[in-house]
Amino acid sequence: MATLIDAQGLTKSYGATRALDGASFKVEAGRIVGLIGPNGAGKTTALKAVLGLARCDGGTLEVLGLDPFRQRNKLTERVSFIADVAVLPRWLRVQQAIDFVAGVHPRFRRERCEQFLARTTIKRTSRVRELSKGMITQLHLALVMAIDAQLLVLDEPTLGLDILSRKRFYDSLLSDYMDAERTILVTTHQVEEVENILTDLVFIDRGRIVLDLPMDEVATTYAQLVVMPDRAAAARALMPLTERQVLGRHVFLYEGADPGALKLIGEVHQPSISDLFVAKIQGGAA
Amino acid sequence: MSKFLWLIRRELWESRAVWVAPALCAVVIVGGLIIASIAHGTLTFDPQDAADVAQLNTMPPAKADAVASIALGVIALPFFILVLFTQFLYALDSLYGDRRDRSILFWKSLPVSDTESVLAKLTVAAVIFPLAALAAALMTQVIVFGIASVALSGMSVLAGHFWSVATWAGSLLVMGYLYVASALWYLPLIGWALLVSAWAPRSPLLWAALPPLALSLLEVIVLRSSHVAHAVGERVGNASLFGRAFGMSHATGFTFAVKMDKGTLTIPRALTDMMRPAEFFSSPSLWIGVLVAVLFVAAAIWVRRHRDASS
Repeated sequence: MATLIDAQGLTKSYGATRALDGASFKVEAGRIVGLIGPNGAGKTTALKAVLGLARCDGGTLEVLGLDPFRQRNKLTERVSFIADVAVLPRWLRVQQAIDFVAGVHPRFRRERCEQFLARTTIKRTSRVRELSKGMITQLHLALVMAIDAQLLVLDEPTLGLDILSRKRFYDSLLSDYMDAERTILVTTHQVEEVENILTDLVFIDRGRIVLDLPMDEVATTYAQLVVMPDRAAAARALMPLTERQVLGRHVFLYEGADPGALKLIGEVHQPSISDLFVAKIQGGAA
Repeated sequence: MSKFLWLIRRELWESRAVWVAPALCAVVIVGGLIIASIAHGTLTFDPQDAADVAQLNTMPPAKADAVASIALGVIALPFFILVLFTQFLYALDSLYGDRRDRSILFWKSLPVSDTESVLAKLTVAAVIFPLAALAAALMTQVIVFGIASVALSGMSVLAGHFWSVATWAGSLLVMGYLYVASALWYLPLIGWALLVSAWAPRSPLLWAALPPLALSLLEVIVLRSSHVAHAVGERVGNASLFGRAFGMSHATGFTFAVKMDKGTLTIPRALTDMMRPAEFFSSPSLWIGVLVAVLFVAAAIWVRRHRDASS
């Protein structure tokens, strides 16, 4: 399997702030990788480095075998990105946007873009400023999905959208875009939304990667245990990552614990990404 | 259509000032002429100016041609002055505008290099703006002369000289020469505007004016000299361009104006005779300016490439 992104020990400082502090991760072809972290964790800095928009202070980074900053012009044809919600220029007309991308991008397939747009209520003659935020995102997605890129990078693509637009965004991405040839790297802090589409999970906190795991290993590596208060001491003895109380019951999160042993004490569940997120990020902070 | 042409088109979609400004200028000139003539009754001369009319009718053909070519020049001048402002303001806003609305993140997601983007904006400022102004000026000249021919038909020998091919060719030659000369002469200003536009955190107009002002002031205070102020003034001033391109000194410009005021209509020389292309294009200060412009544009490309796109 080809490695599309290979980041080793990336560092980047903005003044006294270390945005990236030795971050290492890999993205393999055909995966949907979620880069998840709290605000200011270094997500956007990492993506900017991957897209060649910013240069790292240290470490090595290869994207499609290229140095993304120095060989950016070679990379832009093969990597596309949506780097925030609603960055399409407000004066641009829908038709102009299609014509322009078709004019400058050799891998853009106009018919595909037209197909996506035909399913929306977006008019060709509208200017971007006349569209709702949800429609702008749909338009941007239609433009990007029609590009036959090897890597698609999405930075908080649904921030500030209503729940219907958010759901529609990820539905189109999965059903109309994703196939074995494509790779997506997405950052978000709305983890519930991407939970079901990700194949790999990468947590970043204060410039470091604190978790990097395929989704199918999350269930085998992490377990959530729910016990009554009288069994809490027994649960604590098995070295949980975190403990919290919900409706009078104790909830523990374990890493690499023996499921058989846990089942003797209480109910065992697969933790959600947000449980894992809270455990990993807070665990590091404590 | 090549990628570069798409980049030019995209600029024209965004900046309609390219054609709106000269079109407005044309409307003001033609509209003003029509309103003035209606207010005046007709386009003919006032009877009190009978002496003028008589003078016009006894005008020798060479002088009539000269009057027509001066009239063409007077019509063309506002377009020329206007474009100096619009092209500078366009260049000043072009790269900054992409950052202000964060659309730079969209443009940078496409396979268009920063060099291509900046050169497209430079081309629009230095070539497309003047071309649009030139076309609008030419159209206005045709319309105004058309109206004047109808109004003056049979009244003045002058009307017969309105459509002389030689006069129009001479006028076009002067305009074309002036636009080429000014594009090169003002190139460093456009380069400076692009650099400021790529860099300025906000209010690029202020940032464009501030460094030259501060430098001039600093020089006056510290070194008690004014080379910076002089160099900037020399570059910005219209007089220095006209002086170089047409061999006009301030003195000839002045006598010309005074004689016009007296109504004697003494035309010293045809503008085509005054063109000094050999001197102008071999002048070191022109090419030093072009070199400075190249440096500014290269710096603008560098800044656009390295500046954090999201701030």
